[in-house]
Amino acid sequence: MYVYILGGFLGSGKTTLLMKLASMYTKRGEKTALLVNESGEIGVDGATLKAEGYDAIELPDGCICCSLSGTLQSALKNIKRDIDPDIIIIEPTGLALPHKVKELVHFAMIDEDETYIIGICDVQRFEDLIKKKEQFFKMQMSNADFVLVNKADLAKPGQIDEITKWMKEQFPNKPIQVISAKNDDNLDKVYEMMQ
Amino acid sequence: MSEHHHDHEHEHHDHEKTSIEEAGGCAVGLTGKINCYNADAEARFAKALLTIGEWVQKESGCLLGHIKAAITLDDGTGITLNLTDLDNGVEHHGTLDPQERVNFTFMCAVLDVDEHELRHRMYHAIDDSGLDYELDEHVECHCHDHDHHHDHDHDHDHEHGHHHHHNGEECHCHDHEHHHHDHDHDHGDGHGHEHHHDGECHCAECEAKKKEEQPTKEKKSLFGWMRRKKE
Repeated sequence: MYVYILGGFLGSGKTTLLMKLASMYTKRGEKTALLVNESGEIGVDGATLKAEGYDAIELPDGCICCSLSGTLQSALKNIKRDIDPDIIIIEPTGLALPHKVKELVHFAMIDEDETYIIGICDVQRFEDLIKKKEQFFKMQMSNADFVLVNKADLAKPGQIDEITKWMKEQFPNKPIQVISAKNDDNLDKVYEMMQ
Repeated sequence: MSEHHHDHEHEHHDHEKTSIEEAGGCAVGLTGKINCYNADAEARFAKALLTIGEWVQKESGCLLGHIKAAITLDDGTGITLNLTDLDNGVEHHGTLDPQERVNFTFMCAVLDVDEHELRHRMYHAIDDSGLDYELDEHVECHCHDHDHHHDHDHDHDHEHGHHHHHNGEECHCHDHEHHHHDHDHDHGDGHGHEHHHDGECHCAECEAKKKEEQPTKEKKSLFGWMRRKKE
């Protein structure tokens, strides 16, 4: 069983990517469980997924990397016991620190083969995010196994080059892939990276 | 006494920041029901999201975060609205035929705004949208450190505009919710206190002026005294 954690800031496109990945794995006949966390007491992502035909386990009202850490571990154990999937995809809140989630997955002792963090950043608001929350963003991306630069379809000329340059300077060893999860651009390359 | 004090200090040092605190973010969610749902109601809800997005952008300098809503039937199917960028507008996902009554969830997770103020703005955004709605929970506004809810200097007459409390029992509006805004404002077009539908601004500065002008109307209550003392 493989666990994928989608780490990225609020609005970076994690839910859209989650749906695409879930769809791909389901088509391949792999049993996939989705676990969605939202920091507000009221969740909307679960409704989004349901509206699109996906069933996800929702953990609202807190963050799974801190206040809901115990809940995450219980949920993972229940998923393992009741579903025993091939793949678990976890979408933490956009304010979570993915490396903490990864530690918690490990401590849950669900016999996973491997846990990967997929870092996602958003072309459109990258500049604002770096201006205001650079340190936090770096913390989010720091333990990612690879980074996806999402919303390429909305990029202005030169924006993608600037972002990839910044990423390569900050994280020289991380593979970077420019995608548009919404338009399926380069998602085949993401699937390859996940193998 | 000193021990007690020491304990508090100890607790303070032990507090590890949550990631949301680390990021300086906050998240607020509301749930309720909408009656007579149709395309117009969907557009009105989308407008409420935009209103919040514009406020966040004004307040924090940029919209970092997302503002979302789900409008669903009891079986969970329905539509979702999502706003992450004001230039892109509100994204609509799914379709939902006109319904007599639907559920809604309204959620914001954003950076660099006051959580209580955000909640308050969300109530007003729905309320001002013209939707026929009800909130699931009894709403108490705890925006401030002085229990103002039932000690207003105003009376609850028909001009009062805070209709988002559908329990019909309590009004949770208040006359000083903008005390953290700058008070150098003039009351021209740029005035931001538009959600008091009685046409008056109830910020602390304006209230103080009103009190000076009409001293006999002052309500002699404990909370009124506390408020005057604070001001």
